[in-house]
Amino acid sequence: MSTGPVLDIRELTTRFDTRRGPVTAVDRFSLNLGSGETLGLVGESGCGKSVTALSVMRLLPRPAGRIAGGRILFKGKDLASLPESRMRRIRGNEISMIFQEPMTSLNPVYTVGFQIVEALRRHRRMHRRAAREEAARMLSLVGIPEPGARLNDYPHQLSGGMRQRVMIAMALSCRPAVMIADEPTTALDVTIQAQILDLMNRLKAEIGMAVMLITHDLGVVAETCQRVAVMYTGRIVEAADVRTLFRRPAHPYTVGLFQSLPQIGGRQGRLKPIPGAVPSLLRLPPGCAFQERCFRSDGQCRQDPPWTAVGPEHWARCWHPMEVST
Amino acid sequence: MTEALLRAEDLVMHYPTKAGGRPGRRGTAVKAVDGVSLAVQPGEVFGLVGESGCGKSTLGRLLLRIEAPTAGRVFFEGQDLGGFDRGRLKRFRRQAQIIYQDPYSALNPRQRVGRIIAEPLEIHGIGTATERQQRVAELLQVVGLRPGQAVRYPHEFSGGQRQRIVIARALALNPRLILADEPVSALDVSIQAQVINLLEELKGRFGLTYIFISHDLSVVEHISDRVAVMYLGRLVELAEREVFYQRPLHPYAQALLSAAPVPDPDAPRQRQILKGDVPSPINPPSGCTFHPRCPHQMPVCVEERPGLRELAPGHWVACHLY
Repeated sequence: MSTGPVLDIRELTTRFDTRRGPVTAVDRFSLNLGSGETLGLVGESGCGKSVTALSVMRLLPRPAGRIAGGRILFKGKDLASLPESRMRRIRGNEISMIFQEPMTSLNPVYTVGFQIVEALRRHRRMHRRAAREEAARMLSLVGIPEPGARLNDYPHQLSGGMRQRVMIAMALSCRPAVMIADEPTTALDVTIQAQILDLMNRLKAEIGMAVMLITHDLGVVAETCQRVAVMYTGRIVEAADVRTLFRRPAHPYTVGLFQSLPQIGGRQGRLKPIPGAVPSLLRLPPGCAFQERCFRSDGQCRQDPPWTAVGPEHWARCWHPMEVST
Repeated sequence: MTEALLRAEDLVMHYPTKAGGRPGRRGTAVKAVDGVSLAVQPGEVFGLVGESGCGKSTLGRLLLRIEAPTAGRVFFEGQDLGGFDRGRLKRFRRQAQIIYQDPYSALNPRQRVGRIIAEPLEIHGIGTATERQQRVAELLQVVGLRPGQAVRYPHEFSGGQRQRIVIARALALNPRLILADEPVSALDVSIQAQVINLLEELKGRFGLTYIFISHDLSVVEHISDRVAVMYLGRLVELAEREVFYQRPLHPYAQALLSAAPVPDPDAPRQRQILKGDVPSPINPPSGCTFHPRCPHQMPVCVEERPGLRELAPGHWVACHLY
């Protein structure tokens, strides 16, 4: 097994044409992902985390969205420029994706079994019977009771948690090298979320895949990720290993996110919200997009902030990062 | 003890399912709320938690008499809401307002914000047009918006600002009680904190009482004085906040708290992972409805429904373990 990153995203830029002009939803995004690693991509709505995932999967809505620059290196190939026919062999096979809403990837008019079997036959060239056995094995792997019987169920016959498991089983059936999970547990109740996160952690270890976990929930990040990248208005503003980021956040936006959070067991007085709201991508200020809400900003922040090393394997895109050396 | 502001006695809400609607056929029903009694004290924040489908929103609607219960009674300041005629119910509505989760669907996109906030005043025939306009300006300021924004339409506001508009409208009639049903769940964390702070501020300023419904245990801990946990239409535990979060007693409440992800990579994880899904409220399990998923299941749990009992002053639990 190689030691280099399995997925290496360099300066990825994704643009959308909107009625009110072009919008840069992902702006010079660089990140790599090692096998066996779970990387958390966090940020609030509209920060570009899902668009990043769709760019990697080459599933951007067309014709409005397009990759405008950068490279997505996967096993020596640049996914950003791969022809669609070759991308189709990778998507769902070597890189798969799960979504917040399982019905986005499950077809309501086919049985669960048919859908998994189809993926196995297409990508792994299995025969029908072997594929069916493998599909049942995958369902039992994700903790679905009576997997043989469930293969004949249609998605609507399953509960939300069960559908999520089926989608994970489907995403894993081809043993992908990379799985992108976009808010996989956001629509689920906490007790079911705990089951699914536990499942994902176990399967990741078993299959040895790399996971990019997109979430707005810092609790989920703390429990599942080794590294974290924080996004704001299309850019990564901070990246570090999970412990460092939670203990010593350097970017004022990350600091603000933590201070906004009510925590179980630690009843603080008033919460300290970040003032204001996320600016529109159509009207970003020059320089740092966070400057108007930032408690440390000054005139310098009107210049593009540098990607600064603030500690070992810890970067922040900021002119005035917090003092983190302890 | 002071008189409860709002008190519920054995509330039951059964929604007949399709088959039940046919004559001559023994119907089934969704037992959304199945025997809930509680009392909300004036000035407190009463947190109501539970997972989707546990009946917490339905319970809220019964408490405010947006729906009439199948059985049971609700008292507001000691008076039975069930006995209210239209006029008295309308007066009750001035006292008790509701804030929903989704500020996008709660506001009419074709109306200006000023009109939206003034609507309750119009309905109740309060003030002249000028007085109402002044009141709208005042309310906008109270929730942290500018009076000049009254002429704008909802789409011109962000999610957090829209929730502020919803709150301003709920305050228009000077209510005593506000039922907030997942009021911050649709908002991003940085904005969520702004709205939570606003709700706390308004409570102090206007002496409000809140019933705060949420699935988010950390938000509920932050804002509530007492917490009630619901499972399949029943209350399984009710306690003061500190007591509940330090020492939950019901196995479901324990599992719920242990399942909530903690934003701290070094937090000790002794997660209890519950098996299976929440059963259907159409055909809930016998006895204690939690028994099929409970790690401490005993024979009695299958047979007998546990009542809510006061184990320590103010700490109520419905479980055969105790």
